[in-house]
Amino acid sequence: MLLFIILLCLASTSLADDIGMRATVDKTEATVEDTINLSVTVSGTQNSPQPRLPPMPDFRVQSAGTSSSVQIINTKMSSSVTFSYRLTPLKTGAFVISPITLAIDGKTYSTEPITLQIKDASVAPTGQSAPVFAQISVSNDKPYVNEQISLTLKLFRRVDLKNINLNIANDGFRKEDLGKEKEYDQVVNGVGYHVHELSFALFPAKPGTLEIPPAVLDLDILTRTERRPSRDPFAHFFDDSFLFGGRMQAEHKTLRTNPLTVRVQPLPEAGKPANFSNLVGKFSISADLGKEEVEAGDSATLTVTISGKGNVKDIPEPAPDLQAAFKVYPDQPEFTQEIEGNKIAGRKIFKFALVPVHAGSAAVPSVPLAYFDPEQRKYITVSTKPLAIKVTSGKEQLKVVGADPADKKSEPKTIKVVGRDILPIHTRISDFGDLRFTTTRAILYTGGIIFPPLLYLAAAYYTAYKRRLKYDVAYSRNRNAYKLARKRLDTIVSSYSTNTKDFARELSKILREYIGDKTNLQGTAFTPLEMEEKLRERNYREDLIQSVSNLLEKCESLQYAPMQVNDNTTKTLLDESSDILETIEKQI
Amino acid sequence: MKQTFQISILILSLIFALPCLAGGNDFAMQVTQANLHYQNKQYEEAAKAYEALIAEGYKNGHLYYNLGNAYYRLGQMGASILNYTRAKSLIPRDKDLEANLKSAYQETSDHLEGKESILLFWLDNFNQVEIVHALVVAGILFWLTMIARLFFRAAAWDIARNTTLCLLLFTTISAGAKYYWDTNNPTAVVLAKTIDVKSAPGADGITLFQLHEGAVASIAEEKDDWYKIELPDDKKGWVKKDAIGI
Repeated sequence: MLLFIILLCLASTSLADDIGMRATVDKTEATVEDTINLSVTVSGTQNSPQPRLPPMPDFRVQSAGTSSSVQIINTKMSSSVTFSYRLTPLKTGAFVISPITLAIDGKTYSTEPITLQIKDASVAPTGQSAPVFAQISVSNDKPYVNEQISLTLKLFRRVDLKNINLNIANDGFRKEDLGKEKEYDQVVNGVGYHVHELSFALFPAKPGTLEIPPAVLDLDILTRTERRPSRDPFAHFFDDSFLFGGRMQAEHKTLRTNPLTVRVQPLPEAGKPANFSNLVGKFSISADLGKEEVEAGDSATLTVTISGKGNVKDIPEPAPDLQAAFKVYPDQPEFTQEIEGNKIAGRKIFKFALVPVHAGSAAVPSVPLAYFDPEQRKYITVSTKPLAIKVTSGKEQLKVVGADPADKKSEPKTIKVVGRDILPIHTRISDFGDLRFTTTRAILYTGGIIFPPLLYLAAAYYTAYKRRLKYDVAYSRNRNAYKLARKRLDTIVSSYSTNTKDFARELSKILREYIGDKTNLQGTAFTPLEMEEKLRERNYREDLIQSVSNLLEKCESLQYAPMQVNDNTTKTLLDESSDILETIEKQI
Repeated sequence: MKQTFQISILILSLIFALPCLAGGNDFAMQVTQANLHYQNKQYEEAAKAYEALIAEGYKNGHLYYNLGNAYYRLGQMGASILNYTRAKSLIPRDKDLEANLKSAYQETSDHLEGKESILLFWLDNFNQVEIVHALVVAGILFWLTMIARLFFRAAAWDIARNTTLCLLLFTTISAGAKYYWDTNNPTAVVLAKTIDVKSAPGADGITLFQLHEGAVASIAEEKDDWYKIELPDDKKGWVKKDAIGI
């Protein structure tokens, strides 16, 4: 492998001086239907630039690729680059391909000139039994301007073809396809051919002699290479051209048909109608009004149909003379084209929305259409039947503008205003309330606006209070102390009025529990001294503190050292404690 | 809670019942009398009777509507359109009124119609009282949901509160816009057969164009006994106060 690379390097350097160049063709005699393969081989190099071809105006030149090859024969190595070209002759005669030049490393190389003989295809020795040939014909070589003629191209073949490419020039004509390609078999001079037939419609645009240039067909002829006799008994297994397509060979060919000359005649001036508009062929015209009666202000649809064979695309828009009786709103015409036999046929439908201007009977006059009939060689004018429409007077004349007549039926009819009047007065007494902005109303509105937020504030205060009672024990005790004490003071009178000792104990308990609730002290077993301290901490008035401790002391003494007791004593005590409780409550 | 709710309901029903309560028997009698005049084709008497009621201070859309009808019958399109326009601010969704106002506009020679507010279009469909009612109701609903939130701590009440807050804001803005629109864009209707629209207030103004009975314009400015009016196509000019009605 290494040796090979070294050899390669050696070769490319040692053989660099040995550049040669030659040009070859596969044949020097050919017909205009053939293609000539020109090969330019540059030997002694692997990377040659494209050679410069001399101008060859008589040929169509197509590049067919580049190939390079390296050959090593007995240590002698040669390399070459081959440029291939495909030459298609455009004319018959003798031509010389001038030397082809190529500049490599400042040196110019050139090839020998080549002489080519190009003959006409018709004088080719093979004649009509050629494997493939084409011809064109026209249906009429003396047409009038705008008259349709058919151009038929027939491709005869008795071999397989591929890559067919057709090119028909159509200067001076308007060309239209006439349907799909037809295929059939035909025998020409005793040789069976398969024929492909393709038709076109041509409309000459101007008078004079017009040449239809030859149609050019590029195609590849597929030929089966001869099978080499083989001694290998298994060879025929692999000799299947379908599986191994390599056995088919393509030969490129360019077919050129005969040129045709058509003499286009101008349309005669004699008897040409004024409204003639270059319509040539055979045409008919008809008109239809959708209805016989229409209300003034409503619209009717006039449909004018022009159909026929010929240059249907040039069908002009008819201009019915309706301005006096109707307002006319033309619609976009509908156009359809079809192929009848070998002729272009078609139809244009024009629709007009007609709105009658006056009541009464309105006439739609006949619409004329002039055309030239090439068969009868004269101008013919056809026209529609005159139509009439009855216009009933609508009560009110309304202008219908832009109403589409096509979907008139689906539209709801507009209501016609007959007269103008007002609706009656309102008499339901309950409707006649006074909407004045009175003071009561103002008060209610103000209340309605102010009351809800006040309600909210109250509710907010209430919920906040509830929450505090629930979560703040001291607060809760404080708040409920008076209520509780008051209640117990009320019951104490009836329960303990007889027993002063018990009464005094109970009263002392109520008082101490009240103070405990107020100051958030646990239990009742606290001394008057302790209580005084707590009350002082909470900034109670000094005289109040004093009276509380006096009262408690009184209760103590009643409990343990009963003095003379009468009804008044309990009463005074009770009043005294009530006063104290109220004073304490007030002080908060 | 329940009590609060009952009170609110009471207030609401009071507010809505008010128009019915305020109309006295005497007023109803006079309206019936005027309507009878109209139905007997005594349009002049009918118009006078309606005008008398209005002069007394009664405010009712149907009253203005009937007066508009009476003037229409009398052929006074200016007065007719003026009263229809007044009725429209009180009974904005009345279909009869809409139709009759259109007919009246058709009878005018200028075909200048009153413009409608485009941005807050719903305002044209409600009168001032209705919008105030909506505002009050929205306020009550909002505060009720606020109160409910104090007692029930569910997320649903937050949503309800936000909804009613939006409602309250919407009605507040609507009420403000309605008030602004009604006070700043008074509609003027030409009452005289023909009036000259001048370039300046006073006798020395040049006549710019003429308006005919029933033409509707909006008033932009006021000076002495002149109004500066604006037409929908931006034409402006000064007219005498006595030739137009507001």
